[in-house]
Amino acid sequence: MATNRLFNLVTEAMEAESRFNRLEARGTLRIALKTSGLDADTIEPDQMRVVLERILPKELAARGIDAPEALCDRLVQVVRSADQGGAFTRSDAPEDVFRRTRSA
Amino acid sequence: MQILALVVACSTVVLGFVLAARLLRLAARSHKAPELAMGVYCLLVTIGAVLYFYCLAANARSAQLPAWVLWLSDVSTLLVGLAAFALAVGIWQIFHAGRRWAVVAVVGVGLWIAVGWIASVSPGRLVRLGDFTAANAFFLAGRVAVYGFGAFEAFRYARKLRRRAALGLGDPVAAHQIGLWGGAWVCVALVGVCSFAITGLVGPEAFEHSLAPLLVSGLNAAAWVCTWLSFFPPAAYQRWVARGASEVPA
Repeated sequence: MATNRLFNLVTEAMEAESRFNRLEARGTLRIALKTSGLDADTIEPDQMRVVLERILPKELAARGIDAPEALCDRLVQVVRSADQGGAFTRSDAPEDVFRRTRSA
Repeated sequence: MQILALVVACSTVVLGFVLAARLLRLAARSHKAPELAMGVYCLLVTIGAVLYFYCLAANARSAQLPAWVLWLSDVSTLLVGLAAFALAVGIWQIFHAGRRWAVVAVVGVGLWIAVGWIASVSPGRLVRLGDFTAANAFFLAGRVAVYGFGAFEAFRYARKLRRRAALGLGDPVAAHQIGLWGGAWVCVALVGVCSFAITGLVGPEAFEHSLAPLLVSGLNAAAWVCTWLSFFPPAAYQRWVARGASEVPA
């Protein structure tokens, strides 16, 4: 499964669980990812969980969503269940190149 | 001063060969394209620099250059152009692997550099880094575009990694390494741009005095030191970077 499917999965769940439409859900998650220094097309499950737990609640609250922590907990569960069995493959990130050279 | 510039130049050649050997050895083990491209870059640019210095020395000894020295000059500039192309491949493989626009950009800049090289060597005379000609400007601009884009991508990604590090997701040492890598390309771009600008403003005789060669050698040395620290930072340096990152408030 490509990593950007993770982004689609979370935004679809956000759309279903809140009053956000597709554009609002995707835009809000993109802002949270950008704040965290992450990209929608390379995001990994562990990174997504941290963003959902630590960054997204503030973004949701700023947009008038009630009980943002509860919504984010449900989104974390969606990521956990989708990630079982290593469903999301990880590609070589730029930092992996520099980690390889420094440990060579 | 000129002896100092010569010592710096020789040290950078040694450092270039050592980096090339280490990166190519790593590429042989990992079978990954980024370290292969960067190892090829270091090897080509270092051989190109050795040939370039030899041609300059031959030119200083005799006004009438034999044909084989001119041929060596063409080879040295070809190697520098190929090195810039290898770097473009490295940037694509490190930051944009799998993206179609990046393939088109690499092919495009490769053609740009190739046309620039042919235009530079076709007059049949010694090609200097700072030759103030339209052909050399075109050849240099292709290379500077690659160095500039490499620096831009590196600084952009290092900034992202520092933001991730604040959340406990990023590797602060890798962020520092990538930032240094970007710094190396700024220095390499400045070597070409300064040589060209000094020749244009003052004339080629500026390189017969001490200040211009020292400036260019200094920038070149800074580029190689940044490249070395970005790929193979010593353990103590890594500890110093990690300690500095942990002291930065999240």
